[in-house]
Amino acid sequence: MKVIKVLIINALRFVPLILLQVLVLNNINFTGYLNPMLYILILLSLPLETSRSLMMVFGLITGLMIDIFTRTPGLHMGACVLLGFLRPSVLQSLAPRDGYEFGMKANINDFGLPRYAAYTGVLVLFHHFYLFYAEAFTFSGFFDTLLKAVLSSIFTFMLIMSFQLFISKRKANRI
Amino acid sequence: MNNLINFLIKYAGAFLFLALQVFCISLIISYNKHQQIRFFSATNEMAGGLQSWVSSVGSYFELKNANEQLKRENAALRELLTTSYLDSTRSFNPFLDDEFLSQFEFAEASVVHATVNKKQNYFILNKGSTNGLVRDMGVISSHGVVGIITEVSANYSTVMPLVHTGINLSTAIRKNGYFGLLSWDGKSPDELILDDIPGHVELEKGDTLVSQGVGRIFPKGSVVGTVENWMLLPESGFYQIRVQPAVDFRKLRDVYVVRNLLIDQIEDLKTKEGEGD
Repeated sequence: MKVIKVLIINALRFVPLILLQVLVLNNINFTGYLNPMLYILILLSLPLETSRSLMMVFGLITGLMIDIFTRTPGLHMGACVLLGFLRPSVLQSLAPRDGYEFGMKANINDFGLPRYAAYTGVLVLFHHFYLFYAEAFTFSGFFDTLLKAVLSSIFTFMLIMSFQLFISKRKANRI
Repeated sequence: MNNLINFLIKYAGAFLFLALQVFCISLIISYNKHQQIRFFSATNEMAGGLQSWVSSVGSYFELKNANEQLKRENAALRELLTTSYLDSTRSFNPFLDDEFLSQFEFAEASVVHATVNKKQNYFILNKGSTNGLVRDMGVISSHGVVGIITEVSANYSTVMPLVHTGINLSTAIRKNGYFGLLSWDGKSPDELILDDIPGHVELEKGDTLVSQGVGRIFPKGSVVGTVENWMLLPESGFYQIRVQPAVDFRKLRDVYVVRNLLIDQIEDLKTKEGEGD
């Protein structure tokens, strides 16, 4: 039963976030630099126990969904596979002294602000660097691409954090 | 065997990661125009760079021949200098400034890679768009016509030589001006074929063939080759002439790219003519 519940929760997160990304956020392009990628929250919020291989497969599927809408086959897929590959390592290096508690979820309530910010920040940076350099596909104009990647990372990071804070606040109110 | 299996299991994540990345990057390259162009221009530069390095080593062994050739060419050019002519006309017909309009410029270039044993042969030159080369420029050597530039990248360019089955060059017999189409049957790089010369024309072995016309791609009268032997085709009444090319494509190294400064005018007139239809 618990497995089914987890599946349903993640599926319910998947569809609206993909739609939000392709219908709204992809049309935001401030000054040609800022293009927030909120959809990676899907991957960041998967259960902590998800194995590395499974993470990469989920990354592939999520990236494919975005690529279908942006007509850039392979681009988001590659970035999300990288994210999936790195996530277990990042989680491990950020683990509390006694390890993660059973049933802990990857969100700001369970992690606490500093740990969740570090977790999100590192993975968003890797994802965006891959994405923007694969998009440019050259190291000429290195710093221009770097600026794009960093600014977009900051934007995505802030969006994910505010999204998480918004949800946690609502839950706290309910209790 | 056990060790190998353990190794594979231990690093399964890393292998899967690499496999998926290769898959994604190949998708990116095959389906995204921008990345595809970046990829091929980078690999093109790399291959060109390597081949030009190999060729620069090889060129040392050709220096002696190259020197001889340059000496001969210098001598021929010296004969063309105005000082080599007796000035007999000037006092009677002072020429106007625009009477001698410079029409052709030459840029020297080296062949960094060449094939002669395919049907669609190609040469790579070490000059590209940064040196002002564009498509459809002519390429000659000191011996005669080599071919036409078909592709240009930043620092390299591809030449379609006369030994390419796609070539069709309008070629004339120098002594009487009859012209036909020069082509290649893809067999030997020492033998081209000239068609469409009418059967009543008198031929001799060794007759010089030149590029036809007043010179659009190649300067007027650029040597293409010499008549080797011929055969009268009874059904059409035209000759099929076997031609020895002036250039030895197997040894070609130093060439000149021809730039026609007046080609814009010719092209303008051609498009105007086209609009009139």
